[in-house]
Order: sequence, then C-alpha cells, then structure tokens
Amino acid sequence: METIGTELGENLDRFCEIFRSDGTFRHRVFRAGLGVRCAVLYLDGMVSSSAVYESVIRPLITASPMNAGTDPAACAAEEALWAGEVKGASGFEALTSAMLYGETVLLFEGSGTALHIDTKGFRTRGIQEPQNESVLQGPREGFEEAAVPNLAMIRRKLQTADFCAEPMRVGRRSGTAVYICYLRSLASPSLVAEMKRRLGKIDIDGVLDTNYLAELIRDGRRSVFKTTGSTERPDVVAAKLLEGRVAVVADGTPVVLTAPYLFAENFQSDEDYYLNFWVSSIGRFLRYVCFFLTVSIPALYLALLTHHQRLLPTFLLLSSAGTRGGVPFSSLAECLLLVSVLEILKETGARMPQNLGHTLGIIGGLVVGEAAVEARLISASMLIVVAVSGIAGLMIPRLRAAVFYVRVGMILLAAWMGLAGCLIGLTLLLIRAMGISSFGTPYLQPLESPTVQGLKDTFVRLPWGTMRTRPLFSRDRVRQKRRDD
Amino acid sequence: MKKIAWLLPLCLLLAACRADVSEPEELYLVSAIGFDAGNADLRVSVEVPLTRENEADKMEVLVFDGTGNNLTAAMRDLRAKLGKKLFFGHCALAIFGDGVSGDALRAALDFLSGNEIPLSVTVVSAPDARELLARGTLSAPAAGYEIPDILRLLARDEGLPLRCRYYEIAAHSSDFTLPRFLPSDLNNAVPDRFVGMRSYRDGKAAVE
Repeated sequence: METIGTELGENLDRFCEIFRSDGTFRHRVFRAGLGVRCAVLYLDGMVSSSAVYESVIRPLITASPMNAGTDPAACAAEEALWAGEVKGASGFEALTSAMLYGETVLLFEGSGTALHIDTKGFRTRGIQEPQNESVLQGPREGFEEAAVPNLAMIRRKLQTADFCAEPMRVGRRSGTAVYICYLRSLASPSLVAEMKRRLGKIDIDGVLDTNYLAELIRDGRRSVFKTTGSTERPDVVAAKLLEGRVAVVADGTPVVLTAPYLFAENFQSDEDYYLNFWVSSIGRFLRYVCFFLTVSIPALYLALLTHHQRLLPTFLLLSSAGTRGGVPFSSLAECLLLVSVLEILKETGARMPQNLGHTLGIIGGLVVGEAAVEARLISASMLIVVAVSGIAGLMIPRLRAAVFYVRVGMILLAAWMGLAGCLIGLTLLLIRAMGISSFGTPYLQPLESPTVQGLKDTFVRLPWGTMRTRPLFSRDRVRQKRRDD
Repeated sequence: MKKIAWLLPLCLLLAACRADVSEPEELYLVSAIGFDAGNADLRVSVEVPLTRENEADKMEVLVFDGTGNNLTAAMRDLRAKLGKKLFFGHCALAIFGDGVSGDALRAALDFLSGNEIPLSVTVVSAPDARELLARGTLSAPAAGYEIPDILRLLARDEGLPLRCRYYEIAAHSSDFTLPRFLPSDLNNAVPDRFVGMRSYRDGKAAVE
C-alpha cells in the first residue's frame, strides 16, 4: 500500500497525478498559523465550500503556533480544526477514497500523516413521498439518494442504541458506501454474518442501485420470485428491523434492501398497519385471491374453452363460440397476444410521461379494446378474461415479474393438457416456491409450517394486541408481553 | 425436489394425457338428439343452436339428420353432411321415435352412454323425433331447452315424477316410462305438447 511521505510537494504532486483528468479536483497550499505549510485538497461539488472555509482553512490560518517537535497533523486535529469529524490516515488509497466521498484532505509539511475531514456538501433530491409506495394514511416521507440522510431517517424512527449501521464499500470502481442495518437484540447474528459474507463476496465494477446487490446476494438467483425486499420508505424499513430483519442501505439510491424476504410479504401493504385491521384484512385477503386469479384465470378459461367445453355453461359456450366466430387466431394465440398487449400497455404506462396517460387510456381502451373486437382480431370474451387477470395482477405489484411468467407458463400448460395442465402448473409453482429460501428462512413461512401466531399477519391482519411474537428468524421472538405478565 | 417435480408431467404423459383441442367455433353444439326407426333404416336427428357472430343474444336453431341401416351408419351419414365436429357435451334432450324398440332402442341407449352425452340428459318419446325437433326450432327456445323446462314445471305443479333421465333409465334396465310429446301446431303457434306417458317393457313400447 502506497503511503504519503513527509514532503508536502511530493505528496501534492502524487494527488495531482491521481486526479490529473478530474476537472473538479481543487487544492490550495498555504501557511497555517501552526507554523507549517499545508495543503487542502477536495473535489468541487462534493464538499460544502463554506464548510471547507469555516471548518478547515480559517481555523488553520488563525491557529496559534505549535510547540516544536509536535506532529502538525495531530496538533491540527486536536487544537485547530472545527469540523465535526476528523480522522488521520497515511495511505493514498484511503485518502483518495475519502475525497471521493466528499471529505477534505489536509496534508502537512513534515508529517507522514494526513487528515481527512468531513465536509460533505453534495446536493440531494430531498425528502419526497415515494411515488410507487404512496399511502392514503400514514407517514409520507421517502428515502433520498444519499445514504447518510437515509440512515438518519431510519434512526429517527428507531431511537435506540440497539440500532446498528455497519459500513462497507462495494464496487471496485464505484466504491459505493453500503450500510448493513439491524437491531442488535433482534437480528440473528447468523443472519447478519451471512449478509456481510454475501456482500463481502461481491466483485463488481460499480453499484448504482441496490438491485445490483439484490441480484448478487439473493437466494435462488434464477427464480422469478424475489427473495430480497425493497422499499423507499423509512417506516417500512423500521418495521422490518423491528421484526429482526436486516436492511442494506446503499449510497446513490433511495431503494433499501431488506432480508429475509418471504412470499407472504408480497401481499403485505405498507398501509395495512396504518388502517383499521378490518379494512386491512379485506385488502390482504383480496390480494391472495387476486394472485390466484391473475395467474390462473386465462389458463382456466383456455382449458375450459378448448379441452373441457362440457364444463362451461351451455349459453356461455354458445356465446363464446359466437364471439370467436371470424377471429383468425386460435384461442391460445389470442390469449398470448392479449397477455402481451397487456404487458406492453403496463410497461408503457409505467415509463411514459404522466401527461400522456390519457392518450394511453384512449389507445388502450378504445383501440385495443373496442376496435380490435369489432375488427374481429380478438374475441370479447377472451379480452374480458385477460383484462380481469390484468386488473387482478395490479393488486400485487411486488409479484409482477413472477405473475407474468407463471401466467404464461400456465396458459401454455392449459393449452397442452387442459385442466390437468393447470393443476400441474399450480403444483410445480408450489413445489418451486417450497424449494426457495431467503437467507436461511423457508420462502413460504409461515404458510409452510403454519402457527396461529404466524398466520395472524398472513391472510388477514389481526389487531396489534394479538400479534405477540416476531417471525421465526428473529433473535427475540417475544414482541409483546401479556398484560397480566 | 426438482426431480420429483418433473416426474409429475412425465407420469401424465405416460398415462396418455394428450392434447385434444377443439375451438368452440369449430363445434356444432348438440342441444337435442332424436332417434327414429323405419322399416330397415335408423335416422338420427340433432338440434344445433347457433349464435350469430357478435350477436350472442340472437340464437337460431338448425336440425340435421343422417340415415343408415344402423346407428353407426346413420351417424356417419350425419357427420358427412356437416362441416364441423358434433359436440354432445351439452345435449339436454333425447327423443325416441315410436319405431325405436328392440335393437334400435338398445343401440340408442348405448349411444347415450357414450359420446360424452351427459348422463342427466332428459329422455322423452314422440311419434316422430325428427318432426318434434324441427317444429321445436320454430318455437322461441329450442326444443332441447324447452321440453326439459316443461317437464320441470309440470312436475312441480302436479307432483308427478316426469323427468326421465338416461341414468334413471339405465338403472331400471329395459323397463321404463317416458313422457310423450306431440309436435307444436305451426298454424296456431302452440308449443310442443305433453300428452301422457309411454311405457317400455323388455325394450318394447308396451303401454300408452
């Protein structure tokens, strides 16, 4: 490891060499009041100019001369600098890394130690409500792109010394700051160690979003089911930490990862816990129903229409035959076509500017819906079935990818083997889900080995007073003590 | 676990689970079937409701028939006249003409037990099954839906066990009684009429 020497000029030249192609690199050499020459180095835009001037340059210039034989770096840190956080380092790599994260480096003539001072001042987006996780009732603040303010938001909700945020650097070239957050008394030590191990094994150029990390640390990497959670809401992260989970906050993204992530979490909404449990339970139960509907309705209809016509009511079959008359595609092709169009509309809706939403509605509703039926490109009955499936899928946005692939797989199996195919599809889905785990916890918990306590926050959300235990992976399972204890 | 998962479809494939795909518009949905026996011929008539394209509420009813010296030949003749596959899964009514007895009756009953015809199909008798079906097409709903409804209403109003379904007939071997219908009067627009019961003993019409 290359270390700095005692010659200020040589050290400065080395930093100039390192940042030779960086137009934002700034340095200033001056004589400090301590009686030695020193150099201030920082990257413009990453630091607060006023902090550099007020906390570093001004106190140094106005400092009293130091005693002979004293190390200028130690003297400056102890007696002169006004900054909140000052650390010493002698390696070029550590100092460069600190500068890249918005700190100011201070070199001294005659000292083999440099100081890096916290003067971060880059602009961030500020606290806003996350668009994808908006709620009618409950906290509205969302994370921003800087990790440290995000940690502060979590800490504001968990004002306990139990809260840990262990820093790491991930990314060979991006050197992204990543924090592993957990509550020491609730998170299992093996879970924390496993998270550190997986993050430590990552060897990638850069981490621009937590999804980079999620794909590299998750279990079942080829599975369509998510095994790490993600949220932009500090209240959700705090709730997960209170259940003994671990969160990963990365600099540069408002999305925070949580683990372990279980299948049942796909059906939990942030708002479930902010509304009356009667209201929440309706929504929770409907989400499970909608998951079944969205993956199986097109397949079931296709199976009945093409393999088991006798199971359809007579007039529905007659009506379906009537509406399909003149349609040039087979039922299977028609179904896959409509599912594809539905995905295109959803993708377009998610990506397009908001002010073009009306246009999409007109195109989707009138052109695809009405005109295509009138032009006999598709049948009205299949359009209704796929539309119901699509609407049901919107209830569970976290399973979006899984729903698409499972739905298409079920359609193909239904077209091949009818209802037997649907049954095989659902069985394979169940077997696959049972084979997945998330950081050592079975993915289908608490459905896999149900307990009364576990099911109180699964299909419905019972009142807080009845939910006395935390999930199985938690270190301390007692969430509430009985009133008579 | 994965190995077991792949065994499931494999078992089904080995058990001859195969694709038997029929688009609904490629089928003639049979709502009623009639059997008539002449001197040496057997006639099979089927009533097929059709909805007009994009007008699911407007239904028209067609009657097709096929003739042969036995049921297989009659069905072959019937299928040859049609461009689509016949689907019996929604057949609601079977009509035995007066001439159907003995071997023809047994063949007709065997036919009902096969061809995916629902076991709950209502069975009635008529002087001429083809005529009853053809007249039925002119009354508002097709005979295949109207006659079972008439029987249901009569049974409810008069307390008579009038609904004779195939599985009941099969359970009583060759001795059974069927409700008897006469075709509607075209001129006076009178619907098909229930005119009493017709009994079969040892496969032959015994009492009227």
